Amino acid sequence: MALVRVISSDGAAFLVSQRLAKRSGKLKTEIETFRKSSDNSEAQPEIRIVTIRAEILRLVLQWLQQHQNDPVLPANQNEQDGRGDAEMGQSQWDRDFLAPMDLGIVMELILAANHLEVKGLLDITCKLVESKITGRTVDEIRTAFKLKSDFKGNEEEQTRLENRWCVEN
Amino acid sequence: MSLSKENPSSSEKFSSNATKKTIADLPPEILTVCLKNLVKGNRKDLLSCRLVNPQWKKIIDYLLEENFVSGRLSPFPEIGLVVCPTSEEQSCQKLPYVRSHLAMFQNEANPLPFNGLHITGGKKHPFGGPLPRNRNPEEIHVSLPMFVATAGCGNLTSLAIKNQYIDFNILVTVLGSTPSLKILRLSNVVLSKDVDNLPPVLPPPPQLKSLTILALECSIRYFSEQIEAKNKLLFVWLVISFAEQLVKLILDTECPFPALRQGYPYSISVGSKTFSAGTTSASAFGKLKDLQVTRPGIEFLELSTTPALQTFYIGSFMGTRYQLAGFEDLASFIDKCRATLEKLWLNTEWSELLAYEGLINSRGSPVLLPTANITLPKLKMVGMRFPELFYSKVWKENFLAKCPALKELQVLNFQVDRDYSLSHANAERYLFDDRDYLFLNEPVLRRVKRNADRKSLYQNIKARHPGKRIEEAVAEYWVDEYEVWNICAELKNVYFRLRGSEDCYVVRKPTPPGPLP
Repeated sequence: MALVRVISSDGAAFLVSQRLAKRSGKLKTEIETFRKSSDNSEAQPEIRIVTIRAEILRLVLQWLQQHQNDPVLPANQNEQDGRGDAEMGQSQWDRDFLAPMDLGIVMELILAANHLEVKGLLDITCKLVESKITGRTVDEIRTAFKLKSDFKGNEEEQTRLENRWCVEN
Repeated sequence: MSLSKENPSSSEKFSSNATKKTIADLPPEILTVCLKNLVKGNRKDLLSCRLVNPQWKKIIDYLLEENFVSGRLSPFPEIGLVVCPTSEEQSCQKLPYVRSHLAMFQNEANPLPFNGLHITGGKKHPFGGPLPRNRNPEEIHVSLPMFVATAGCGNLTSLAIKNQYIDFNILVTVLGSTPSLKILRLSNVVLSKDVDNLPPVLPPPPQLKSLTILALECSIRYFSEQIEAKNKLLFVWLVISFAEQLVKLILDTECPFPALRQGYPYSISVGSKTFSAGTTSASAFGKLKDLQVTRPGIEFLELSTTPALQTFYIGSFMGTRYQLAGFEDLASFIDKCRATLEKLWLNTEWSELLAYEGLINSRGSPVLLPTANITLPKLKMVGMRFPELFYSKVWKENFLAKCPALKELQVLNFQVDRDYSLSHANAERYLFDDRDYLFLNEPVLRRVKRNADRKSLYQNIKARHPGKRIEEAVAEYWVDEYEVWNICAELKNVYFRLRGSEDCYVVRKPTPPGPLP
């Protein structure tokens, strides 16, 4: 089985099959670039991911392994019928996978899925963020996501006025 | 297990590291993905998000606007302005019932969160519901409320008008009061009787420097030629007036748009009167990146300078009328755009290709579509209707083989139980006869015979896969039969969009691993 070494920003190396790694758009490109530039067709590619630490990279690879036989979703799969992308493929395994994570880890996972071009993972993590927003007040959202209001002048008041207009009518 | 860790000591180190990332670290495009489904959900959540911070407000407002343009969303029910007679007896001359907040038209402190306005005729309007028998639709004329213009809409960026007769001068005034307009969408909008009083050379519209998206739709195919001519005059006037600045143009009309050309003098006849709508400049349509069109005229696609189109969508390109573009014109146009085209939607009936096949056969030449010499190197996405099995040669050699970079294939209108009987064939014959394709009778009858063969084939496929939905079984058979994986090396899966049923897809099987060294 052809393998590839994927190395995280903090130096941890993961040995994975190339077939699995190619489920990531970014890793696939890197492997193909390595193949073109390498004289030795048997050489094992080594890919450094300088933006993703090991804990997160392990989670991404774990998710890829679980979903290695899933179809690769196109970017606009559900634009026409109005369904959310994540509604298509979120399984009980995915829910169990995401359940213990705090929001900080989820954010890192989103960034990693985006960087490595793993659309399925990006979809379910974004969906998780959406679920944390749904049904919350603005203060609860700010607290949950550690956000500050940086509206200038009376911009926030103006926005509240617009919202009130929409709600009251 | 193919995943294994090296350096276990280092993995122990990172496991205790606490993350400092927050949602503020997400780039705007990812935050947009997180928030995009809120637009379709609870309005309260949406409004809460607008208050979180300016970045979130900007994204939510963008999402609202985007859904508004695509027609998927009537942003807020209260903001939709409905103009219709108050009762069946009342004519349009009476004050229309307006379900809206008039404050929205004030320039100062525009309360619209996304600056969009949707005006639509009510259910009793002839374009909004079934037309009563023996009744001239203009009797129930309702014009755009003048107060939209007089009160001012300085902050509006999106304006949609649907199912309305509209006075030309009122439209000019309304556009003149919306200087920030980016998107204009007219659906089933026709000029009212004032056309007779217009000068033969139409005045230019007000300057709308931000207008980049124009969507013009009209499906009133059964009305009089007079009404269609008025509709055409309005659409042509709008398109050529903003031809230099348009980035996205949607033209879904029954009456063919005359041309999409530079330096073209546009004149439209309405009754006995001919109007000049102006002449396009040399830089017209130069910024166009996204073109969606249905039933284009012969000259429509003959651009002297091809725009850098990235997306091209075409619905039907034939119909019951003369002077519509044919398949050669379409293929030639696609060929011109090959350097930039990334998404192509050919949402056209395959019977239109059947007509072409018949045409070639009648001349005694081999079946060869004009796409034979086209290659589309950058094309990543193709959407096409489900072809009959007997078009495999056309499908493989004229389309799939021309798109080496194809990553996404969507098969539209996938129907395995579709019937094509003699009655359907007869219904289609009038279409061909109208274009003097009298010799098509033979291909049509041949198609009926093929349909019977196909039904028998599908029944056999279903019998071989008793545990599967027939759609899935046929989809798999179809992909194998057409050698899709061999032709498109980059393609990973093929999506089949069904009507009234769950979509299905076929995935490329992983290549078996080679022998171990």
